[in-house]
Amino acid sequence: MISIQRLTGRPREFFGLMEESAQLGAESARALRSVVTGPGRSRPDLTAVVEARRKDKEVYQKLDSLLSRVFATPIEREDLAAIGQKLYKLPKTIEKFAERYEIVHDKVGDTDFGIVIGMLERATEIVVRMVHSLAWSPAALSEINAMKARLSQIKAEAGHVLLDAERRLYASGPAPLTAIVTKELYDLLTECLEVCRSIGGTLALAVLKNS
Amino acid sequence: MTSPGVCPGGYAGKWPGGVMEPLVACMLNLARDPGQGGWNYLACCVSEMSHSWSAPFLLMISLQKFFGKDDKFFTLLDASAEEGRLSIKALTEVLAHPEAVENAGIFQLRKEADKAITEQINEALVSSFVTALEREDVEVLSGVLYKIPKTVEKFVERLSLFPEMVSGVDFSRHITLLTAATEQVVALVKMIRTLGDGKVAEAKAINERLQVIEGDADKLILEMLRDLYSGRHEINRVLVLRDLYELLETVIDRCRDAGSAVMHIVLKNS
Repeated sequence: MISIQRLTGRPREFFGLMEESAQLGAESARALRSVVTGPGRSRPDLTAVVEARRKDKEVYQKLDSLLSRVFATPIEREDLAAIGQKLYKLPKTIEKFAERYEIVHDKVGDTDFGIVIGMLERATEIVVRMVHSLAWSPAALSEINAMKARLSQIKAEAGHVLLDAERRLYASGPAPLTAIVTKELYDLLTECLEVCRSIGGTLALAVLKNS
Repeated sequence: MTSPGVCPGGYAGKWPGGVMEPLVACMLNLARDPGQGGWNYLACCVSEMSHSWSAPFLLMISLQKFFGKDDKFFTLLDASAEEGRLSIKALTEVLAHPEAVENAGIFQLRKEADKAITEQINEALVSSFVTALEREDVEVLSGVLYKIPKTVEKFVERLSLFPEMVSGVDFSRHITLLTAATEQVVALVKMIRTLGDGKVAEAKAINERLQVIEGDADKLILEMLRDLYSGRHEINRVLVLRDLYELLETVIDRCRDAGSAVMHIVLKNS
């Protein structure tokens, strides 16, 4: 019955959109690295981040519209809606970080965000692989669970790195404004990784339901 | 009451005035005798009831309820959107003179009124056999609508803690965006009643306006933060204003969410 559901539920369209959305999330994370590692104290260029978010919004709207119009779906409608929503949240949160960074880049110029952004890149690549697995090899439950665990591990490692960065920030006796804006950026990076972890949880649940 | 005299089961003229009993009897008869006899029986029951002074009305109501055409949900959703609009209207009056904020209790009343409506919707969802709209969609929309006055109340609570901190702050652009957003939400929620009238394009246009307003609100908060983080302001003022700006942005985000929830319903029922 599940196979029939998958066959009749326009899997190419639904999973194609979800994969596109996951790839735009990964693209967004890669673009973020170039935002924070731009030359010197010049104003960062957010074009690539904004563009990835804009494209992802279009993909999300297509998915939402398809979900509303189509009677049969390859996996449960609610799961597709939840995954689509969370995938879109990723480039959106990354863009929010980039926009805030652009405002205060001259105040946090010496802060190194590269390590955590590297972790974010790895997390988004895992999300791409998870979406691919859900779409085309839904029986790979153990593989999906391993990737989900890896996402949680990355989130935890990033938490340690950011905690240490915060400790060093406060120990250096920064200007209050620098402390406020740096902490805000750390929190936004944590949020990005939390979104990845949450996507992993939702994808694993969807695979479990359909395995 | 007239006697049709043709019902094969001889039930006509005997029912006690209610609607469900004869209706169920007709259905059972139809199930036993799906041929012309059963249909004749059903037709004569309906005809019989239509001669009773209260039956047509009761029959209409029951069938509407049974098939989910009851407009209770539409009325409650409209009322909830209206509470949000009134809450934002009161907020814009406060924002015109934020340093003189008083009577914050009115926002709590608005929120409580909306909460009562949301509870009525939830109760109706539990007690209704069939709903005109999908249960989950009504639940999501009513939840999002309730968050509008709730976030407004939160904003005013924060504002009333430090009204002196906001002296000289110009909220006029926020007022414009909030007013526009809430008008679009009320218009969109009203459109749910007319689903199926080919108004998808109209609903999409309203929703797009909401998206534009939300985009403008994002740009506005960035502009405000750019000024706040410029180093020209006292640090306490930076913290207070940042929280307030973020709450105002959240109110507009909630309006956008309401628009998305309505569009979801519109597309599903188009």
